[in-house]
Amino acid sequence: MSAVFLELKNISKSYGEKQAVKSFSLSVPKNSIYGMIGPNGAGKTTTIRMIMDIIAPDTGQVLLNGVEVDEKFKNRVGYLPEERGLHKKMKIKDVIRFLAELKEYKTDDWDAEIDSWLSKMSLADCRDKKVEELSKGMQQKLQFITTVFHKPDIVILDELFSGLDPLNMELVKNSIFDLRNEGATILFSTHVMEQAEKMCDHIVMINDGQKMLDGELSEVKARFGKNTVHLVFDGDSQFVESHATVEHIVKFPQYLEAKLKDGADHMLLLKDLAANNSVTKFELVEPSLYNIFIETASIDPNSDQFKELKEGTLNV
Amino acid sequence: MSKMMTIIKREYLEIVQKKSFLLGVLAAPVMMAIGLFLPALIMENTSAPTQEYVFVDFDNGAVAENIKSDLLSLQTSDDVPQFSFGAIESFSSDDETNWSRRKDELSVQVQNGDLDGVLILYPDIVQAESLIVISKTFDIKVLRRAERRITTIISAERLKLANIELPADSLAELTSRVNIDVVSPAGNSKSFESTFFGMMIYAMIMFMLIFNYGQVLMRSVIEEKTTRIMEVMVSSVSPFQLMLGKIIGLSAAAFTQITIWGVLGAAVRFGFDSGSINAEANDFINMLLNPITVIFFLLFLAIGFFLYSTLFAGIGSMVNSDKESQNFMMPIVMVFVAPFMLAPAMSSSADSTWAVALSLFPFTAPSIMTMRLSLAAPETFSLADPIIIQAIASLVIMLATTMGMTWLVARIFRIGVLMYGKRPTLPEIFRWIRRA
Repeated sequence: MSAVFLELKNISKSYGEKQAVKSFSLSVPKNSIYGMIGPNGAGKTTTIRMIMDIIAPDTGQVLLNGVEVDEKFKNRVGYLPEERGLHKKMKIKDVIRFLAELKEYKTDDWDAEIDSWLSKMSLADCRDKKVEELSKGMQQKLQFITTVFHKPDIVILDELFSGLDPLNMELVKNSIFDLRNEGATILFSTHVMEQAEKMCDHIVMINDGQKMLDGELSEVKARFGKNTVHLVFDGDSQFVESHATVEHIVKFPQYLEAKLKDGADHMLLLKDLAANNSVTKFELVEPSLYNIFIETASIDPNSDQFKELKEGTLNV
Repeated sequence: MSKMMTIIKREYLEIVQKKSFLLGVLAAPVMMAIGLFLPALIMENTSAPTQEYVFVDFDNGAVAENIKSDLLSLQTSDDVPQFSFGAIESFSSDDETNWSRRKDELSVQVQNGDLDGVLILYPDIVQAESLIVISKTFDIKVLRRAERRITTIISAERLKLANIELPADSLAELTSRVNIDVVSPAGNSKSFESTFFGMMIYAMIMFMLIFNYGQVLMRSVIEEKTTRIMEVMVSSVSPFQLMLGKIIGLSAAAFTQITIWGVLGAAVRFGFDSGSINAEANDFINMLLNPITVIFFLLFLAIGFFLYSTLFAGIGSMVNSDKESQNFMMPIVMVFVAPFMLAPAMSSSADSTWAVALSLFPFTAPSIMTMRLSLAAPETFSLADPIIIQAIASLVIMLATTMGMTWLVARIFRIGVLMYGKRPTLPEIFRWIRRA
């Protein structure tokens, strides 16, 4: 594993009685894409805001290469907040330049760099338009450009995909891969599990201000075991849901995902299913991030189950 | 520093590139010119050459004839219209029925505009204190002249009763009014009208600049909050840099406006040969451009502008919409309007305790102190002059308040700009100040 680049050490934040983030630690390796998932109100945005020094943590530190971050850190970060927007009356090229200058970014050829980004994001003919003339999706893409235009080492994206259609999601996703290939480290939070699963190599899940899961995506998945079945058949999903081997199911448009109980034999389910239905697909897979999310989110952070989960985490 | 420059540049360009900026720069002098010349233009063009009146008399006989012939012979100087009367209509004071019928007829004629008015001399006009005119219009120039003339005639009649024979014209000459001309220690003439007017011009400019620009700043902060740009910005600059950058950018725009006004004013002032404008206007301009008043005005404007801008930025950071800001605006508007309501009292008692107190209180100082300075118009900079001492003290108090205010608002701003949703309560704001 590569060296730790950005490190959070036991950061906490309370708002009055409510503890939004409880002694949260995270080590982001250099050049990784780190996904942060968790239900609404879990503390993701608060954590990110503390990294950005927009709110001060009550306790704990944010370190970069082992050194506590200072004002200069801001110039090295590209930050896309959850609450975002741009000056409506400004021209696109002016907005990009303004926000890059706020990061003290310098270049000899603004026009060329701006044009190159705009065409990359299929906004080529919008250079002289005002922000308010763009559609919502276009504004989101522009916002993404302004976030990464100044070539940041670290890109922090809060609720990255909100407001993007699948085409634009692809564009943004590919740009993020490019950034990573050029040496950037990426930390993002999202609700869109499918995208997170396709993009990140590391994953952390927060619930109720605490870390529930953390590690490389493949390891986290392996820890949950191959006890998930994707199946397609012509009968009633109720049959699967109530089967003795099945813990719960998630319905996807194209298939049904069934999470099996610990130690249950998937062949039992297949046999019973095949007896009465025509089964066209039965695949034993690693659980999807979506399923991990749902399962983990249901764990009470004060229970023994959570302790086991935590201990599992420590092994990673 | 370069980050703040970026903010300053953007704020400045955003303001000066708006059409409303150009409009504001040009509209104010145009409006002021209209305000100066329009009343005169209206007065000049509405007066008819002669005024048709009916002269009604009750038993005053010769006196009535005197008054009539005198009013008719009144020379129409400049633009004042002349009276025109038919024969005197005499009524006996016990002839109620005829008079009331005639009065109704005349009233209808006045009402219809066939007649400009009816002048009625009731019995014993020599002893009476007033006579009556039935009229729809109220041409103050005509009436004042007639009043003065009739007063002289009646005074002459009264003297006659006291056995002093004097023709009305000699009487007018003997009792002609004496004017008091006020002259400053340096020998410049000061008239009440021009001093009062000058004071109002200063207060008006102060009000317009501080209030209008303050609102521009407040709206800009609210807009950056509602469009959610704030968080993007504060991830690059500190909230304090952002606030200061916005205020400085705004000040630069205001400074541009004042410079344009100054250049326009200087062009008008020096472009015309001073011989071509009349002496009264010349005196007025000299009084208005008294160097000490102007310098203090600019100092008060600069610090007052910063003080209020900080306040407006703070309000903008606390609220979520223009509408919500209205509650906070109320007291500020009052503070700004107060000087205009106090102006008449101020002009007669500029050095009273309350006037001094208000000119030292930092939020009223910019307008009140400038008004007092404009009234006093100090011609030499002397520390023995109480008003100079007070002005300096006032500036120092304002400067200290502004620094305290900046510190306070920076703390509110820091938290306020990232708070969406409901407007904070006062206890919450105090918590922000403590927490930041």
